[in-house]
Amino acid sequence: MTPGLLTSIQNALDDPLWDASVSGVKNVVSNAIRALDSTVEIEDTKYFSHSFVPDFVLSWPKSSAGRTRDVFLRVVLDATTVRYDLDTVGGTHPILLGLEALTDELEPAGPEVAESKFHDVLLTDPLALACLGDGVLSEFGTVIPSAVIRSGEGRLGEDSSARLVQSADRVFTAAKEHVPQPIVDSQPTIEEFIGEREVGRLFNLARIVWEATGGDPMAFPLATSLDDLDVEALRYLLDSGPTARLDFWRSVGKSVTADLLLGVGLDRAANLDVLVATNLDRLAFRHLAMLPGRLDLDRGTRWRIDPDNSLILQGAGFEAVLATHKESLPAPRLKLERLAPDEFVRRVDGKRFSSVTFVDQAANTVTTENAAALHVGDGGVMQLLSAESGARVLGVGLDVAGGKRLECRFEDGTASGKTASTFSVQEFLTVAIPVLVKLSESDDQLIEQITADFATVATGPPGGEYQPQLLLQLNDFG
Amino acid sequence: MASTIARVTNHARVADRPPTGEEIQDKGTDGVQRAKHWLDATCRAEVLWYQPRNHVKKLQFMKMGAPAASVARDDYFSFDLGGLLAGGDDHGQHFAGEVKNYSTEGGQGPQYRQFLANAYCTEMRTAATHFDHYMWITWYPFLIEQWAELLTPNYVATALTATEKFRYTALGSADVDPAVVADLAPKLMVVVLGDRQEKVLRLQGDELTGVQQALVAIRKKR
Repeated sequence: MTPGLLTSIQNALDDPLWDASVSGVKNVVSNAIRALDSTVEIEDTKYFSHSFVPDFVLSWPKSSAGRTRDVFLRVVLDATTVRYDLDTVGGTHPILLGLEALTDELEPAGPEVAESKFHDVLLTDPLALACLGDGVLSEFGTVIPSAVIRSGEGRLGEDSSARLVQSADRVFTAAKEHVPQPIVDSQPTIEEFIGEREVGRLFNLARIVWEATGGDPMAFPLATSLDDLDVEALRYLLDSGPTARLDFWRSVGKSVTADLLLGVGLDRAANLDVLVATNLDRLAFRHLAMLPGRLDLDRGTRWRIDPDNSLILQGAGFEAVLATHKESLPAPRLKLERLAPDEFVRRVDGKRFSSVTFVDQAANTVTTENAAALHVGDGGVMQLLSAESGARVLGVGLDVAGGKRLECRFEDGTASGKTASTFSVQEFLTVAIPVLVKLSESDDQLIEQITADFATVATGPPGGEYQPQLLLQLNDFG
Repeated sequence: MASTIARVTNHARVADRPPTGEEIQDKGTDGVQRAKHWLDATCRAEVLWYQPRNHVKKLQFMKMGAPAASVARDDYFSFDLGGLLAGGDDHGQHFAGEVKNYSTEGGQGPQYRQFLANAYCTEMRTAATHFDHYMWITWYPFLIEQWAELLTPNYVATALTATEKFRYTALGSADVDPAVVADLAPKLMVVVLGDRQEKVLRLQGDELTGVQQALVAIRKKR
């Protein structure tokens, strides 16, 4: 446990200039909070140690809970201040962070500061936060610190922080070793300092670890649910989960959204391919952009997550970038052309579409829209195109199940919904990509293979009795 | 045995004894925090720094009569609290305050004059650029017969030379500068608080939450 944080705060407080002192303290504290929970967004209110306006408002925009938490900095934290704060701001479930170490005066506090008044209120100090931060780099070291920031409660000093970290360490070690008793023994300490929701999340992750490392899920000693899979849990599974258990990944996939997957922050992971391969129908995005294939990339995996928040499929001659936000798409690099009518016909053969946009010989841009979906057999559209011998097709609106339309643009190699529709990875693979680009034979086979594998997984019996060659195919990244 | 009983009966009852130094200090600390809460609650004054441990060097100044680079404790004084005003044309102006959590007049007269000396000294040390307001915050009125004069230049000037101690603080070997006094007097204010006022006239509940959110929103735009 290092005194670095406390010393840094004290040094900032010692600055004789008022503005510099305040901003120095706030920078140190906000950095410390961010180091404990990388998913938090911190709003500096520009108040300092005010009686009832917080110094910071914490939020977690990617969390479905939509919760915020106020942080009040307290240069002096004694029983009088605590009583006042509990009366004035205690109802807002804040963090009261003393800028010096908690004193014994607060333990035990007077009768006016009963334990019950600390429900959902965290009273802590820099030494406790530093203690939490010391374990962040270990395998599950981020779980407790983020749980404390989000929903810590009670009086958490340096000693109690150490107890809490040790208890969490025992839980996850026991989960990997499938030993139930340490998990049960650690539960009271964790529940003493962490709010109910985060306790559930923590033990849920422990259960996932238990099962993912081969433990019998029925033998896990506490009741949990897989429904609360979050970024930390998913990150762990992608790195260390059971690659070969397709039923496991199909089950995990029920809780994985595109935003959750992109929020994991891993470039590549051991299990990203199997997760995507077994959930092509569940992962949904709004935009696709086609890029040239990259020769310099390691071919170890088919799928990777880009830091700009997109999921990328690597083919031999292309990269398909899938994103939920248009801003996450890269600038177009694929030199595409406006399609000649015969190439257009070849690509959309077998597919239904509701619109075609083309440039006529006079360089006019024309869009035909039809109430009923068309296909290449419909004479009207082809007559329209072939009548203009110099016509070149710019785009097509492909019909996808559920009444959705996927607009494909040939000039920049992008596709997206007409409205705010999302499309599954499977739909992009089978509908959009073969239309947008002329696939090589190997890339054509790649997409066929991916969709065939998925078909087996999606229709396979519960319990995961899949064809052996499916596992070989999923592992064949050559 | 008889001598023991005599010793015991010579002591005053516990309840009648004067407060200990620690009790006085605790009451003082409590008063400063209460003053902070009250000032913050005006939404106009924000107390950033306050006694006893709150890096009071920001509120500490050397007396005018002290030798240069003196480190003697008696050559320094400090205010109990300091902060900023919020809003309006004087947004960001600095204030300093002295807090007297007294239940009687309790010698505030000489202490107030010492405060004036401290304020004058601070003006000299900072070329009158640091503080725009000096507040005397008390729970008990004092110098009632001179109440109307307490904030006047004349009273300030008289206070500075009333004792050697005040002179040492404010002037050293210099004379009173009427221009400094004239600038200082308008910066002074006396605030009288009451126990019930603090409790009953304090924002509560939804109004408190609403004001808090509004203040954050306003500051965000600033």
